[in-house]
Amino acid sequence: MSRTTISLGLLVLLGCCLAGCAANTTSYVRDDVDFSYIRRVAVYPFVNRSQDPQAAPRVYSIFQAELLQHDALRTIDLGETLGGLQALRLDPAAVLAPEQIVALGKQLGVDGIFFGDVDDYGLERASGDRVYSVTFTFSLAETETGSVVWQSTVHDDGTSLWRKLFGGGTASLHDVSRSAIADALETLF
Amino acid sequence: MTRRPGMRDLSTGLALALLVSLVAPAAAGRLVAPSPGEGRAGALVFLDSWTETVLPLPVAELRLDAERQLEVALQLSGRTVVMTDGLMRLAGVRRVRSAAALSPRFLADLRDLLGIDELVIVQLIVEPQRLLMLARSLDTAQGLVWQLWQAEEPVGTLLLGDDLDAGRAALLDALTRALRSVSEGGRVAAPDPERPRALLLPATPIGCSLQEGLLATHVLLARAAGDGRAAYVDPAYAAAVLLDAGLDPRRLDGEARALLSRTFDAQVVARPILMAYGSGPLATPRAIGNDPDERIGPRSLVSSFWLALQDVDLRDGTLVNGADLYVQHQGRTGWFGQVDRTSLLTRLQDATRTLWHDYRTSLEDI
Repeated sequence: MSRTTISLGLLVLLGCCLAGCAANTTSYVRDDVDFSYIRRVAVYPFVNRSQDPQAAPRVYSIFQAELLQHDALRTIDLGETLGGLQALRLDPAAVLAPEQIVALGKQLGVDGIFFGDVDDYGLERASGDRVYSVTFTFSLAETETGSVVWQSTVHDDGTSLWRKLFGGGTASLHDVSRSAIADALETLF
Repeated sequence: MTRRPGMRDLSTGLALALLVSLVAPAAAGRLVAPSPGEGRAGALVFLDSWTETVLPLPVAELRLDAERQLEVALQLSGRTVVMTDGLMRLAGVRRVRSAAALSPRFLADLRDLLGIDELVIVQLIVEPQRLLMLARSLDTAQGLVWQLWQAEEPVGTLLLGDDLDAGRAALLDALTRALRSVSEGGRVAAPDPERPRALLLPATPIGCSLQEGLLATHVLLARAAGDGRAAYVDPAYAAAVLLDAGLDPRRLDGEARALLSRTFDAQVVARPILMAYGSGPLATPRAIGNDPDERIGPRSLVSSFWLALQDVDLRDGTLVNGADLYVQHQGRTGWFGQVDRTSLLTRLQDATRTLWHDYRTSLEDI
């Protein structure tokens, strides 16, 4: 076997390992929307479908921090959003119809509203190991018509190539969540 | 931490005893006569027992001991002191139920009726293995923080044993050591009026206890005030302004923002959020099924803190700055068998320092 073939084989193997460690993201962006007009946004309270009762507010906090890093958007505080929901007598746990999104957008003076679902958040047993694993779904609705213009589902866990080869602890839940959120938002910005 | 039978009853009893001891005027009043022109300090002692901690000592007695020692410590630092029972003579006018919300009206009463210009608040948190002291002094005119102290003292495991006298002695010894910092700190001058005022709300705990929230707020406030760039309004005072108006400090809606802006002439309020504190994986609720040997304390080998700090613009409710930090500290056994026993308070201070640095850097980038 030639040296070139061995090198190529190793590269392919490494590529496969790295691909296995990257976050798994599926996203949808509407092509016909001009995102530049979305300047001020709200983040709706996240829906928690995981077993950790504190997962939604924790992921919400990281999501807000990640949004803050993108200077393109001005994000309003959760208290302001909840105040708007109260004024419109909307339940924070309810799924909003497009006309309710439009009304909330007017109430809050925002161009877009982010929504989030925390599907998995916690320890997962994989190949005998326990690793932190998260699955989130985020979406953005514009408030002129209430339609969804971006959606991303992301799954990530605390494994890494290094850990698989040499052992070691799982990445923290915070780091896994942050990485997943950053990957999801990368498909938007 | 496992739940023990009757623990809830005990906690309720402790809370009641504390409340009674706070509001009942002492038989022998120790109110110091006012001296014209002399700055006086009032002092309040609050005692919190950590969640589900068994404390086999009379709470009122312990609080009295703490008060006596605090009085000496404050007098040694050159203050003329009015102790809690003297302050509680005002209780007929206004009661103080918690150091987490100091009503502006109460501070005004201290200033106007007792001539007190400085209020020293000491919060003691007693755990089976350690005593935590959080103390701060603030001016009664504007609620600005003047000085902060914090101490963590190990008390061994005597409190859980049968020997109450030994446990009490260990606790008092720890208390003396903790309060020494108050007497050594001395009085400080009021903040420079030229310095801008800043607002920091009490930390919102998510999945953490109120006491942990108090601890995080205090340490963060110490870091912020120590920065020297601004004079900080006491978080409990800022929160009380909202609570007195029937508003929730954790929920900054338009009304709450307008009130803060109007009262403190501020444009921005910083809001800390505490999402993890202590040891153990985040996915496991701390109180359920944790091995008692892994209980949080100076002997813990693994600790994690998750803190966020966000600046909210009081004019339009937008987030203008923020930092988010998760830090895990793993103590290791060295080559010669020594175990890293860095205290939880020290670790929290380290985490807060990093958070504050990130926050300031982010602010300067704007």
